[in-house]
Amino acid sequence: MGSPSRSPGAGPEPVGISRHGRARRVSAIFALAVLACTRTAGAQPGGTVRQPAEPEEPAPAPPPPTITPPVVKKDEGAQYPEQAIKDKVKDPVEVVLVLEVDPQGKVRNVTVETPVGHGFDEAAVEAAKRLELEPATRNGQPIAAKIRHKYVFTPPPAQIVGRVTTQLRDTPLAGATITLESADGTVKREATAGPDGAWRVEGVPAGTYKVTVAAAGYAPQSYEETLDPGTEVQVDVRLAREQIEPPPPPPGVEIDGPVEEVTVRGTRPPREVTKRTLEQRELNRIPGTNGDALRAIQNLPGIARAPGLAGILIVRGAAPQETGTYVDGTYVPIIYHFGGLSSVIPTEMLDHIDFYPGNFSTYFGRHTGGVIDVGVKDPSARKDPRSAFPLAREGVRMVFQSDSIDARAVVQGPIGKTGWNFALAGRRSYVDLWLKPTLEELGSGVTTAPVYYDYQAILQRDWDNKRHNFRLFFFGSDDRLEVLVRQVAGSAPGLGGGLGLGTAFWRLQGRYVGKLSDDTEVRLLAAVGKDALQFSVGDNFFLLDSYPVSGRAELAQKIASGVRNNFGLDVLLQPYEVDLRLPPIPRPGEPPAGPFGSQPPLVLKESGDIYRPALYDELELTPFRGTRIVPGVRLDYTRENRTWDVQPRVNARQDLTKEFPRTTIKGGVGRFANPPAPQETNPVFGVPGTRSMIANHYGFGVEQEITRQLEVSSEAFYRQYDGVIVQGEGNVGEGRAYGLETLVRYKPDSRFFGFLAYTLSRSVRRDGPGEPERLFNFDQTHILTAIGSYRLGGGWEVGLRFRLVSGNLRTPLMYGFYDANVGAYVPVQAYPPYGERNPMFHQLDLRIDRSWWLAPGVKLSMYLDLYNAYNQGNVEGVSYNYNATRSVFATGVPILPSFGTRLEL
Amino acid sequence: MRAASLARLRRIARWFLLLAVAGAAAIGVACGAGGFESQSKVTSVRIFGVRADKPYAKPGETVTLEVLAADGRRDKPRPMRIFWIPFVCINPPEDLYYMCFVPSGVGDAGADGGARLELPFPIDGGTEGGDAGAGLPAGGDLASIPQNIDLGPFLPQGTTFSFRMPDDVIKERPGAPPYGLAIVFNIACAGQVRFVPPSGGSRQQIPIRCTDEEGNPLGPDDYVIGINRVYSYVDRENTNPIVERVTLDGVEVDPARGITVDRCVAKRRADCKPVLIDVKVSESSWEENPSIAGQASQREQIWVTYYSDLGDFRDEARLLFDTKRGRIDQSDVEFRPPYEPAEGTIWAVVHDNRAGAAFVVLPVHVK
Repeated sequence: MGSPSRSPGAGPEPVGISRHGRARRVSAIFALAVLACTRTAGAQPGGTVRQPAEPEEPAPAPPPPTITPPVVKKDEGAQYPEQAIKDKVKDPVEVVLVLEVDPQGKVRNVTVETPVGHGFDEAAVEAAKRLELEPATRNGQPIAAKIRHKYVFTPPPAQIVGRVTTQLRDTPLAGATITLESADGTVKREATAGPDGAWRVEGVPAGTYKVTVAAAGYAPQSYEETLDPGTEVQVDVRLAREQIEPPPPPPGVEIDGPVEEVTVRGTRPPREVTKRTLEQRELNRIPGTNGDALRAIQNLPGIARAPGLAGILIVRGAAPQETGTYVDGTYVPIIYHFGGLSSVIPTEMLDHIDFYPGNFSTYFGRHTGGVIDVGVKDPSARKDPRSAFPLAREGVRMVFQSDSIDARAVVQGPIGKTGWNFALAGRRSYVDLWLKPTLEELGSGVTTAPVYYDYQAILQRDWDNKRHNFRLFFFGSDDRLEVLVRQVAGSAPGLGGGLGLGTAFWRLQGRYVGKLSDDTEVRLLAAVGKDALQFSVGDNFFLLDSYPVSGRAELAQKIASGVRNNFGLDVLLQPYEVDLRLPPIPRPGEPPAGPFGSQPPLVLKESGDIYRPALYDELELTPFRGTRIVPGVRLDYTRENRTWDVQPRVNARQDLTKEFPRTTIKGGVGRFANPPAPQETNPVFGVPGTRSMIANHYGFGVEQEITRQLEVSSEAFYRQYDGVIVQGEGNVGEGRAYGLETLVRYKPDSRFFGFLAYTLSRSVRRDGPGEPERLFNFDQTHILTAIGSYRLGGGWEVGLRFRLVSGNLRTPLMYGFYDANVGAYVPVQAYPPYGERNPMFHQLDLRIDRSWWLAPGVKLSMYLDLYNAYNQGNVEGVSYNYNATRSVFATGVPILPSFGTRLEL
Repeated sequence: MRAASLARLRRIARWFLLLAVAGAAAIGVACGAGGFESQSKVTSVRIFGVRADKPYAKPGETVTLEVLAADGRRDKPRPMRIFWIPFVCINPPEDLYYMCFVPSGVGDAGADGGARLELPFPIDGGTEGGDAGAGLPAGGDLASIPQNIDLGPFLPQGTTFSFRMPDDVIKERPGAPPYGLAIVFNIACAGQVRFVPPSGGSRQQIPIRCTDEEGNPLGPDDYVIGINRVYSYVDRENTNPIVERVTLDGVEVDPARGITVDRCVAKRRADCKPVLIDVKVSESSWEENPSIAGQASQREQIWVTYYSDLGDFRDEARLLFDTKRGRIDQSDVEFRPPYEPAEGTIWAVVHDNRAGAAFVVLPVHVK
C-alpha cells in the first residue's frame, strides 16, 4: 500500500498534478479505491452498486496533502441486461470499472477492468455514466481523480403464475394450494388460489422447482418447472377428482347425476390454429348420436352434415377422402361402422378426440381436408375400496352397454402388482338379428346379414413416476354383409344377384413416450396391421388387401426459454394386393356408360406397395407471454411419381388480454398435399404420373371468453386447391372453399352444457380447363347446430339437438334412352353436375338419461335417444321412376328411438 | 336382496317399460312411402329389348339386330314406327355413346383417336376384306344434316337392322382384353324424326327428336331412343340365352297360344288371386364369362324382365342365374289379372350380362 508504483489499470493522469506528487497521489487514490471495493453496498433491484469507501489515511509523506476521494452522491444502479436473461445467467456477476472523474465531479471516462460479457459490461458502463459524484479534493480544492467502482449483478427473480380449475368443467378451484420447492430443498414457497383460481408467486430465484397443486377432493398434480431469471412462467392446472367413487347414497336416495370419469388434454396451446376438443360429458350425451363420441364430433363447426346416416366426414367442403382419421397418431381407414351407426372405438376407451378442420400441424400430412385424431385412454387401475363389486376393490373396472343396435363391454385394471395395466373391450352389432328375417321375408337370400364388430386390447405401463410410458394397443373392426337379391329391379338389373360388402382392419400399435430430461421428450409410435375391403355386385367385384406398416418418431426439444423444436419422422409402407373387375369409373359430370353390364368391365390383378416417408420440423415459439408462433415444414415423398411435396406451414396465436376474460386472435397459413391414390396413377383406372393434389389453407380467427363457462370463437377460412385429381384426366382440376365458422360454447357446469355452432361456407371446383366452375358435391351453405343438455336432478338428464342445414346438392336426371344391352332406361344427367339443392334440412333429436346407484360402486344407467323427434321427412335425394320422367323426394331416416342400458362396476 | 333394492329394480323396470312403449309407438309413426307405376306396366311407346343374332360378332361378320317394341298408349294419334340411324359408330372414346356425335379433334373426341362412323355396309357391297374400316370421323358431317325436316323417309324402318362388323374393329384397351365396339342407334317414334344438333350444356343428349308435324317435341310416352352395343372379340364367344319353356302355375304353356287366366274379382287389388309365371332358361345358357389371366373366371348373370299391357306383376324382373350360385330356384313372378275380361300381351325379355337376349311374347286371355 502506498507504493508509488502505477497501477496497470490506471488511466491518464489528472490534469494539473506534478509528476512526483502525481505518483504519490495516484497511489493514494488507488489505495482508497481498492479499499472502497472491499466494502459492499446493499443490493438494488436490477443490480448492486458498491459505494466507494472512505479513503484510508495516506502514507505519511512530507507534507501530506489533504486528499478526499470522489464521493458518490447518486447512483441509480445498473439494469440487469436482457442479454443475460436470454443467456440464462443464473449466478451473481461483478463488473469492476475504473472511473475518471473530473474536478466538477463528472464521470469523464469509464473503463471496464475485466469484461464479463452477456451485456453486463455495457449495463455497468451505462450506469456509471449516470453517476453523480462529489469531486475528489486536495487540500479542499477539487481535482480530477480515478477511482474503481464495482457493480454486482444478481439475477432477477422469476415469477410463476397460473390458474387452478376443475378438469371436468374448468371451474375455478379457490383455495387450492400451490407449493414450489427447489431441487435442493433450500427454497420453498407457497401460494393459494384466489376466487378465480388464479395464483402467483413472485421473487423466485431462478432454478428448477417442483410445483405441486392440491385441492381437497381432487387428485394433486406435480410438475417440474425450470424458472429462468426474469421470466414469468404460467402453469395452468386442471385437477381431476380423486380417483375414488363417491360413497354410496343412503338407501332410497338417488344420486343427482353420474360422476364423470374424464381425462382432458392439458391446456398447452395447440400447435394448430384451431383444435376443437369436446369433454366426455358432451361427447356421450349429445342427442341423436346414441352416446357415441365419434359421432358427436359431426356436430362441430366445419363439419357438414353427412347425408342420411352415412359415416363420412365432410370437413370445410372437402371430399371425405381428403380428411384423415387416426387413432393415437396411427392412420386407420375408417372410424365408423356401416352407415355411421357407431364408431370403431367405444366411447369408454376414448381419452379425447382432436379435430383439426384445417391448418393442422406438420405432425399430420397426406391430407388436404381435416384431421381427426382419436386419443385412447391408458387403462385405469384405480381401486375403489368401498365398492360392492369385489374386483373393483382390486382396481378392476367393468362397463357393459347395450342399445338397439349393438352391445359392448369394457374391462380394465391392473395385472396384479406388476405395474402393468390392461384393458379389453369388444362390441358386436345385432342388426342381423332382425334384418336377416326381414330381408328373407322380402325374398332375398341372406348369407351374412349386416353385422359389425370391433375389439380392443391394451397393455400399458408407466415407469419413473410417469416419465416413461409404454403401451401396446391391438384394435380392429370388421363389417360384412352378403345378400342374394332375387328380385332384380327392372331399372337397374345389374344390381341384382349376389351383393357383398365387407370392410375390416386391425392394428397392433406400440407407443413409447418418454421424458428424457426436463427439456427433451421423445415419442415413438409403430404399428402394423391389415386393411381389407371387399365389394361385389353380380360379376363385378373389388378385393383389396393391404398390410400397412407405419412408424413415427418425434423428438421435442426445448432449445431455449420460449423456444421448443419438434422434429419428426413419419413413414408409411403399405404392401397391397388388389383384384378387381369393375365398370369404368365415370368422370365428374359424366354419366356412367350404362348400368352394370352394359360394357366390358375393367379388370386388374396386381400387387405392389405404397411407400410414403415424410420428415417434418416445427418450432414452437413463445417469445412473449400470450404469444405463440409455430412455423414448420413437412416433406412428403410419394414413390409412385417420385416427387417430394414441400409443405411450409405457420400458425400463430396471440392473447390480447392476460387475465380473464381472455381474448385471443389466431391465424395460420400452410400448404398441404394429398398424394394420389394407387388407382389414380394406375394405367387402367387413372393416369400415370399423377401428382399430389395441393391445398393452401388460410385461416384467421378470434376466441373470446364471455364468462367462465361461456366462450365464443369464430374463424374465417379460405382453402385453395391446385392440381385436383379428376378421374381419368389427372391433375387438371382446381377449386376453392371458404367460409366462416362460429362456435358459442357453454362449457359443462353442474347442470348444463351446450353449444351453438354455425358454419357459412362455399366450396367450388372446376373439373378442367374450359370447364365451368361448379358447386362441389359436398357444399353446404348453412350449417347450424344447437345442442343443450340439462340435469334435472334425481338422476335425470334431458338433452336436445336441433339442426338446420342447407340441403345437399344433387344432379337432376332427365328422360334419356333405352340401353338395349341391359334392358333398362338410362337417364341423362343435367350439366354441370350438382346443380340443384335439396330442401333445407331440419331435425330435432332428444335424449333422456336416467342413472341409479344400485350399490356402492355399481351404477345402472338407461337412456332413450330419439332421432328425428318430430319425424321430419328430410329430403336426402330424389327417386326417379324407370325412365326418369317422374320423381319424388326421397326422405331420410324417420323418427327412430334407441334404448340403451349401461352397467358400470 | 333387500326390499329397498327390489323396489328400486321395480322402478327401473317400470321406467324401461315406459320407454319401450314410447319407442314402439314412435316406430309406428315412422312408416309410409309412395311408389311409381311399375316399369312392367306398358302404357306408352316402349322398347323392351334388342337382340343381336351374334352378341359377340367377329370382325367382318354381319350382325342383325331385332327390336322388340310395343305401343301401349291408349290414344294413338300417330302410329309408332321404328327408325334406325343409318350409320354404325365404331369405337368411340372410352366407349361413350355420346362421343359418336362429337367431331374428332374437338374436346374429348381426340383422346384416343375418336369414334368412326361407318355405313352399315361398305358401298361396294361389303366383300370380305373390302374397304371396311374406311368411314367418316365421328360427328364429322352432322352439320350437313338438314334440320326442321322429317328424316323418317330417309331412315331405315322396321324391327330389324343389319350391319357388317368392320375388319379392324378390335383394338387394344388398358385393363381389358382387346375388343371392338359398334354402336347402333334407333328410335321408336310415334311421330316424325328430326335432327337437333347438340347444343351447350349436357353432351349426353342424342341429337335426334321425335316431333309432331309442326316440329314440336313429343313427350316420353311417344318415343324411345335406343342404344345398342355389339362387341367383337378375337377369341370370345357369346350366344343368346335359350328359353326352354314358359310355365303358368308350374304348368308348361305354349307361348304361341298364350295363357288364359281368370279376371280379378277381389275388392282390393292386393287380394286378387295371382298366377305364377316362370321363364325357364337352359343350363347351357349360363355361359362362362372369361376373365383375364390370373383371375378366376366367372359365369354370366341371367335375368328376365316382364312387361304387360294389362294386369300387373309383383316384381319387374327376376334373377334366373347368379354368377356364382347358378340357377335360382325361386324365379317365378306373380301376375295379377285385371278386373275386366280382356286380351293383352305379356312380354318377357331374358338378358345375360354380356349383351345376350331372348324374347318371349305371350298372349293373355282374361276371362
